[in-house]
Amino acid sequence: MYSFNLFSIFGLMVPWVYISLGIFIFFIVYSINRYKLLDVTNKLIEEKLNAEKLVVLRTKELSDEKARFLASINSLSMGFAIMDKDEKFIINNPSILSILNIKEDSITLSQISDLLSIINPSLSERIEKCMIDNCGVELKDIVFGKKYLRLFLSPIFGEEKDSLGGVLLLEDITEAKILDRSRDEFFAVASHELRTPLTAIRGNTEMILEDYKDKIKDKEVISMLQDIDEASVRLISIVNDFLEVSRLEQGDILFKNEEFDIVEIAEKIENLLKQETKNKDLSFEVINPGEDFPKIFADKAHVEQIIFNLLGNAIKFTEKGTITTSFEVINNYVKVRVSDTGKGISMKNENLLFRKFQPAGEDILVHDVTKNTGLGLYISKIIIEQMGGSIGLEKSEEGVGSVFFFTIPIHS
Amino acid sequence: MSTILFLAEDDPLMSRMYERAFTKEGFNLKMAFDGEEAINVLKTMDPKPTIALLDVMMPKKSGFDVLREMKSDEKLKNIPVILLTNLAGDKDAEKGLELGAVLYLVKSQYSPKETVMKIKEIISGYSRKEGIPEVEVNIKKTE
Repeated sequence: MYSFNLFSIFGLMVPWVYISLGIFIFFIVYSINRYKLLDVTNKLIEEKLNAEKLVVLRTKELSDEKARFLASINSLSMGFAIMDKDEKFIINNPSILSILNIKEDSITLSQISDLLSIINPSLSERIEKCMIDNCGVELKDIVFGKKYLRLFLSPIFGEEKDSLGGVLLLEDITEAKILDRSRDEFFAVASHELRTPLTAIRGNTEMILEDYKDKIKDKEVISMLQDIDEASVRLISIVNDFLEVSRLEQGDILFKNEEFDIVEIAEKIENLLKQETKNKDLSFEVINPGEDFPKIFADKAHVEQIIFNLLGNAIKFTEKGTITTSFEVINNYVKVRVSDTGKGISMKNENLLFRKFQPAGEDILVHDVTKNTGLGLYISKIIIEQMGGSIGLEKSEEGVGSVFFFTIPIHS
Repeated sequence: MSTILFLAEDDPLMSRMYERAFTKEGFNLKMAFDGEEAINVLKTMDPKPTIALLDVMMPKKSGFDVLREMKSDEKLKNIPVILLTNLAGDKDAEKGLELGAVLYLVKSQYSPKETVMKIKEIISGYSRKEGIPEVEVNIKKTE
């Protein structure tokens, strides 16, 4: 008998329902994922487009930057070049070629070194040293044909302190040099021409005061003549200072090499100056370093001049107290210190002290014109440097005093 | 007999000043006012001067030229020469001494009296035959 079995029908239906449900769920999930994927893809595409836009923008910015940079270096009158680590120039402006009178573009550092006769050490050797010392090379007054050049070379370091090459600057300073020279020549000629009439004023006034003083009845006339004499002496000393500066700057001064005792010289100058300071409450001390102290080989007259200048300045700015001169040997140098108990100078003005026309520690408007031209320390600096030494202010305190020093090679 | 001195100096201000200073001290002064005149006067002078003072910058012939000519002239080469100048370059002084001058004197550094004293010292040095005096380098006063 055929029997209706409900369970069998259901039994037949269940797998279909499951399958349909499965298919339905599958489609739902698939659609969602597809939608998501599309979204991600779209976003990726969008980001890619943005990135591309940004790259285009940055590239343009970079190329604009490069154009600006190249335009700047190309418009420089100074020669400019950047080299790679093989010392080959990768960027250079036209000025550097015209300064060096060359046409080719692929230049190297050694070529420039040869061209400018910079040998022993060459530019390559110099920059190698710079890599260690972390400094730059500066060469002034290079003579190149009829030109005078100034060169500056500096290494470029990578992040790990490795060499990436270097930057070279080259300046044609011929015009400045010519101007400088004609100014110096004018200075020398003018000073020389001034000295002759001044010598006549001084000479005749001194002769009147010495030989005819008794014949002048009016004391006021004698006083006036004494003023003329003093004025001429002061003018001669100013002109002499000007002339000496000009000669020192032109290298027109010869330095002798003779053996002498620097302590003896200081004692001699101290005695000489003592006579001039009787109206001040000053005592002098030269600390003798003993008989074993080395003799010096240098230009005696110029060393005398420097000691004279330092002691003279110490006296000028000290009203009361002691002026001490001491000596010390440091390596192959003798260091001479002149200390005073005078009005002192602010240490921040130290650099100004050794400049031209800069009277020690004084404002130009309030400086005492009767005392100096402001050239003494400048002259001393050029002289001592030409002898291989140095000069400076060791320490100073306002109201307490100053210690000036100079060093000189034992064998200069 | 007073000492005969020869002075070649073109600048009247200088020549008058030295003339006053030397004659006051009793020197017998013979003068020339340019380089050419200097060499002519020296050649014709009789007796020859005890000492000759030459300015360096002079018209026609410089003091250096006159000195060079003197040194090549048998009758003049033994006259001690002092270069009197306001050229204060060391190279000029060196050149003068190389040419045979006994002293290179910068005019502005000495008063006429001091110059006369220096000349007297040199003459007495010569008369005592103490050889050629050396150039004295003074302490240069720079302030």
